[in-house]
Amino acid sequence: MKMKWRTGLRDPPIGLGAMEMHLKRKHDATIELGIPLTLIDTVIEHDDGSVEFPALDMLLATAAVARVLDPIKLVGAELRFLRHVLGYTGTAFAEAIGLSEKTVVSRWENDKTRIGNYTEKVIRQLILNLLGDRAPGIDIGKNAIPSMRILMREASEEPIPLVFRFEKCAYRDCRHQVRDAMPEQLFVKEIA
Amino acid sequence: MARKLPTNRNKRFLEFVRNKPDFSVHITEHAKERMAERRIELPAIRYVLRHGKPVRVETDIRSGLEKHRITGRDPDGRLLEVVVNLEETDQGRVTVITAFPSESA
Repeated sequence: MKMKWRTGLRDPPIGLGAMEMHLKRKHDATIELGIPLTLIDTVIEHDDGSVEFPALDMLLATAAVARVLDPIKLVGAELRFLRHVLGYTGTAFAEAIGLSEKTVVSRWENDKTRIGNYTEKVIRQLILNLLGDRAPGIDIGKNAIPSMRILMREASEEPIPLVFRFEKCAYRDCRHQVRDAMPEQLFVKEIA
Repeated sequence: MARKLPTNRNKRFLEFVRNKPDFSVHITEHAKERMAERRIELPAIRYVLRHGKPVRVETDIRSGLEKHRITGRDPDGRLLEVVVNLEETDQGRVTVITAFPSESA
C-alpha cells in the first residue's frame, strides 16, 4: 500500500516576509520544555534564529505519557513538568493524588524527598488517565502502570532524553494506527 | 511604537485558542532568550494562553503585526505576561514575541 508522508513544514508567519527556514534534523528542546527531550525532523528553524514547534498540546501530552511509561524513577523537574502539562497547581495536584498536604509536592519537585513507589504509580496512572487520549503516537498497554517495576536512578546519572519525531499522515491508511484510531498527525517515539 | 485597539478585538484571541487546539508555537529568537533567562517554559506559556486574560491588542506600526498581550498565572502561581501574534491557518500558529513575569505579581 502506497503511503505519502509529509512534514509539518509550512509558510513563514504573516508579516515576517519571505524567510528561509528548514526542518531541524535534531533539536534539543530541554530548555523550552523543562525535561530532557530531543525532537527529530520536527522543529522548523527560521533564518532569524526563531523555532517552531508543531501541535504543542499533543507534543506535551505525548512527552508526559512517554515519560510515565518509562520505569526509571521520576526526579523533581520531571514531576514539575508533568504537573504543568496537566495544568494543576501544587494544591490541585496533591488533591488529585489523594494528599492533603501541598508541601509534599513541593518537596518532591525540589528533590528534597523522594516519591514513594506506590505514590509514584498513582501519579503515573493519573497522567495516563488524563492525557493518554491526547498522545495517539504512544501505545499504552493494559496494566502498564500496575505491573511496572520502578527502577532507581543513581544521583550522578544523567537522564536519558525522550526522543520524538512528528509525522503527518496524508492519507487515511496511516501506518500508525493505534488504539483503533487513525490520527492525522502524531509524535512517534524514537530510540534515544 | 504601538497603538491600542478596541478591547473587543480580544475576543478573537479567545476564539482562536478555543477553536484551534492543535496550534503550533513559533518562538522568536528574542522570546527564546528571554524565556531561558526567566525560566519560563512552554507548558507555562501554554497554560497562560489557555487560562489567562487577553488584556490588550496592539498593531505594531513598523511591522503591521497584531500583537496580543495575555496575562495570567502559571500553575506555580507566578503572574506572567505573554505577547503573541496569531495566525489563523488551518491548525493555527501562535508566535511568542516575548514572555515575562508581571511587575504587579
